[in-house]
Amino acid sequence: MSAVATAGVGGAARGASFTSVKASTALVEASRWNLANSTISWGKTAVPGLVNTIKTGALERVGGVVEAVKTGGSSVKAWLGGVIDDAGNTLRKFYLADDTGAITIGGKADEVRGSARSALIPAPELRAGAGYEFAPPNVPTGILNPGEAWTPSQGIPVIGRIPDKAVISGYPGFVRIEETVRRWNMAKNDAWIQSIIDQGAEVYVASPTEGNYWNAVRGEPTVFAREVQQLLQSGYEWQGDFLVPRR
Amino acid sequence: MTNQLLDHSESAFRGYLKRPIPVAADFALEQQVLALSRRELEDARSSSSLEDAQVFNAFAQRAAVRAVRDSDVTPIVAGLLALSIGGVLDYRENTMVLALLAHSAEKVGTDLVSILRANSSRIPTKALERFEDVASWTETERSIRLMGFAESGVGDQFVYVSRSPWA
Repeated sequence: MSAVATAGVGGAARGASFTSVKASTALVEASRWNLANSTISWGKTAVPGLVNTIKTGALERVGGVVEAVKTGGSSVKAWLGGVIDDAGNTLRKFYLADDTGAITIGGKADEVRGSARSALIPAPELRAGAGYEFAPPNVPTGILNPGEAWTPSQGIPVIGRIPDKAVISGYPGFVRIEETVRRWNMAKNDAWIQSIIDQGAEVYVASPTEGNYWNAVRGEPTVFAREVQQLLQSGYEWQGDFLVPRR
Repeated sequence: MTNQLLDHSESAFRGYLKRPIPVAADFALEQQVLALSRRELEDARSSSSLEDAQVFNAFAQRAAVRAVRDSDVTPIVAGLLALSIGGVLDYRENTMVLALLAHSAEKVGTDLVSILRANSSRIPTKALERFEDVASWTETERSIRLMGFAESGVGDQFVYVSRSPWA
């Protein structure tokens, strides 16, 4: 696989930034990513978008190992990765992964310093997340029972992890999936999100992205991450705490 | 309570779900969970952290696999008790695993309703109500396919794998 990638950079930084990238072989790749002296978003925009499947071997290390420095000074090793689509193309996305291969989608570090302490590292197998398939585009909504699809009269749809969404429980003008979809399953979840997409609705995101995209014990994205991914791949964009359709 | 059940050393359970089945932690957790009274389970439920809940969720999915491999209902019971502790987790993530436990129950010749009935005095009330509700769904509604899983392998290689419900 190619080790060349160009970073997608933007969005809410949430305090995460690359403050320096030291000269090294890895800097060559880091420079291609335009990481040096850039402010990197790896909050809400850091979902590995545009791919529906995280495949074994679909990730590779580019840019070398970096030191992710947390508030308080402790640090973790991490590496910069590219996302390879089904056709083998490296997408304009990046993320950091820890040294177990688990994707850090939401940013466990508050600050990242690209110390680039090693040269390019051979691509490891993606141990975590291998085989996981996000919702494909335009899923059928026929699996929803009458009244379960989102409609504007129900209020602004809210996504997030259920405990976070509870804070707006009963708040007028908002609606959560558990208020309309009975006998939940993953297919219905995908279909409910699709019903929102089909009607071009704005979505309120109740959960912080940090720490909520990735279930480290399962080694898989959370249902919340699946929802965000489904919206982003359908052309939605972040606007504060909302995901809105691109106009 | 959960601090007594789980080793909270950093990364102790990172990627636990994907580890080979079984590992020692499966049996250790099973023994500990099965030994808890209903009251102790309720205490554990109220004090468990998100990380605890994720571990119990993964343990329950692995228990669903072990039940099929060993044709044994005991891991299913342990899985249900573990899910009852993990109430802080997004209920959807526990529903997915509950569907696996129900599926495994049928594969070992019983069903979720019977298991819940036989263990109703052990499972915390709130969790039991949730489990009974899911048990009442149609087989299609709680099918592992619609929950995003598929069976893979046979015998000691049997496992549940993630699979798009749209595949």
